[in-house]
Amino acid sequence: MNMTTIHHLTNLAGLSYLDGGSGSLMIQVLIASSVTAIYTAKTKWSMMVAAVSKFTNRNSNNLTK
Amino acid sequence: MIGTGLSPASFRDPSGFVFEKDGEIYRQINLGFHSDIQLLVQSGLQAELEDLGLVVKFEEVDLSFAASSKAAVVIRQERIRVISYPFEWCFSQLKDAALLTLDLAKRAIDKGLVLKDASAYNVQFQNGKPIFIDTLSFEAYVPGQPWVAYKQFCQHFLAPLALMAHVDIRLGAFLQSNLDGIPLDLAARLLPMNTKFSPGLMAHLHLHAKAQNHQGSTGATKAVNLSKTGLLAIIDSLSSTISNLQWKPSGTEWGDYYNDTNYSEDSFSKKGQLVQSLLQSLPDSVKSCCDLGANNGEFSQIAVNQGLQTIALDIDPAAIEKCYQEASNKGEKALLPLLQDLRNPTPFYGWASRERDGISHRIASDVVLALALIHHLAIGNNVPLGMVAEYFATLGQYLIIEFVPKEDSQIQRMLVAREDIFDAYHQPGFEESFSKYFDVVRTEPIEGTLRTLYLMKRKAS
Repeated sequence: MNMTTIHHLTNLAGLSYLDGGSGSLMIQVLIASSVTAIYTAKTKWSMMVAAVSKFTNRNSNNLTK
Repeated sequence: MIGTGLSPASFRDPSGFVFEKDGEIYRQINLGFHSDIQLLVQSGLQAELEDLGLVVKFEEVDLSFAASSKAAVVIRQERIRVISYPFEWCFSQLKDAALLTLDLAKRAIDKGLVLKDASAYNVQFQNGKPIFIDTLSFEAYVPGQPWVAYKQFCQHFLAPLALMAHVDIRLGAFLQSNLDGIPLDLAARLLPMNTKFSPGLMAHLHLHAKAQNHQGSTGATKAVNLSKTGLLAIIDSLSSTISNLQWKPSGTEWGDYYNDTNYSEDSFSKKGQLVQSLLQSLPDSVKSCCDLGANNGEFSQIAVNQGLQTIALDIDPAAIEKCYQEASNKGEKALLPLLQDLRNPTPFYGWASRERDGISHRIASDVVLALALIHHLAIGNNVPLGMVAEYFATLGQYLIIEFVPKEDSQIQRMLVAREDIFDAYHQPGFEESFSKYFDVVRTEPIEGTLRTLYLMKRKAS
């Protein structure tokens, strides 16, 4: 067990006053494995849309000057 | 150290607690836990959330305000005018509170913090919007750590919302008997099979419930490591799942009440004008109003228009849903709609029956509206008029109440299938019962009906 893992367990068991539930903590890893790709794609798509929108706005502003 | 009124609801988290002094709300942060609040401020997260109106504002005060010797920091927090509880919210209120919690969780991670709990009791409604009140819910994010509040979020928000949307809107009331949210195995058992085809509900509710059972039986705690992107993806997925849950009011008992009365349009309008006139006659010291049996808040809106902070209470989830949605769409800040069964008002409950306050303790206002309500209590629920008067006198100094006589078609309909055992239900009996607790200031018959409006003032005790 490396130091990072020890720290995680200490933190979860010692400092958090809430019982996160071991099953609830583990299922997050499983769920994350299936939703991370979608989330990453969504994030990248949003960034791309924002960049395109910024670019087109700049061009239209230039045309109206 | 000063004399304090420690909040009986603030004892679970050892990092600090809430107390009240001279009408102000303070929060003590105990020694060993102040680094989290420092990070909350220094990261800029608190300022960002305050600017967006998502969290209560606070300011640090001198340590002499501390309630115990363990204090590292003491803060004074913005006061919430009316405290309400999750089972008193309509579907959209609970949904908005859930989305606020997830928004905060995401913003916190972006600033190097995490929400360490996700209780629905950490959200209140102020100025028509949900606002997060627990400053101590933020702590430093530890890379690789899963979300410790995930289970609590699902129990407090996802499970009740899914049950309300897919099974029955009244199941939101489960939150009253389950202080830490609805157990996921119970929710999974009650939800229809088709919810397993929703990827979000399948993952966060059905699979989650199974994982809890499995781990609960072995009791094993295993090291888990979840990347920051994975954590953000889970929060995003929860957000989509919650956003996709919908409920539209239809076919309930009260939602269409105003379309199903014996008022003509003209009488209804006259009644509104009378209520407005009675409210206008009140002294300037009257600032707050509680509308009992408010339906969709049509008359509450008259009180709001008079500049009164108004609570609209009704038993019907559809009526409160409509009231909240309309108020939200208008950006109405002074109206708080809440679900409440006056025949069985929210009692004091939680640990030692003191953790959470009863509704009567929270809604006391300067003026109480009780329009088209008395017959539902006295005839629909067999409460003697004197007991109704006694209870109403605990809620406000002024009372605007509508007396509905037995000849009214609404009451005739109520008596169709039952014996009329209400010999004492008549206007003189009503006046006699209420005169024990109130002085009648003004009486106004409602044109085109058999009903009468009264403005009363509570007798000095």
